[in-house]
Amino acid sequence: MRSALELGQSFERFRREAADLDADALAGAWREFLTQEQLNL
Amino acid sequence: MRRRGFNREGLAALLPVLDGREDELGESLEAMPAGRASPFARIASTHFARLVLLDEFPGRNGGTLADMPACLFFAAEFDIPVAGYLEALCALLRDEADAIFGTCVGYPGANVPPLVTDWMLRHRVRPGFSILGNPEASVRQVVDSLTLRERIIAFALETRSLPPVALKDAWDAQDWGTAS
Repeated sequence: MRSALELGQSFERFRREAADLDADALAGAWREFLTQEQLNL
Repeated sequence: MRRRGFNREGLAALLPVLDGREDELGESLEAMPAGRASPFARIASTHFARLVLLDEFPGRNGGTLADMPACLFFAAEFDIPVAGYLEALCALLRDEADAIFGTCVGYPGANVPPLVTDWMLRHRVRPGFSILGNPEASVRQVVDSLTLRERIIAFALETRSLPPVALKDAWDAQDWGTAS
């Protein structure tokens, strides 16, 4: 549960940052997000 | 205990069981579903609830306490005041409460919530400690976070082979709501 709570906070930050990204930048940022958060997923 | 806008409370009570009703109580407890299927999940503020039939109590020198009746131990952690929680229990778990607590001495019945509250609080015990798995989060935050994680995993799996433009389209089509 703790990891899910941490993931929620990280995802909210990612979502704000992703709002203005183009397709290529979003794809890179999404991969990086999944990599960084893999322990919470 | 009030944290981040919600009221975290706990209740532990030791309820003597009516003589001869122990087996009935044990069978009711065995039949009760756990996890999200638990009837206590109907009370949205429940972090956890536990019901344990205690049929003997350890005494000194490895023996057991004589003259101590079997007891039902009820413990719960929740995000609302205890009186409100017990009212919710009577309203939302009426049948289960009557079936389980009805095997205990003096239980007044879920149709009279104020008496249930009085009865339960008269049997309240103070635990030496509480284990709080998520002391900084409400039940709603925990459930929302678990749901969001499931959605993130599903989205990652669905889009893992997509090129950037298609991923962007899929991302924009998502309604993530208000992430916690």
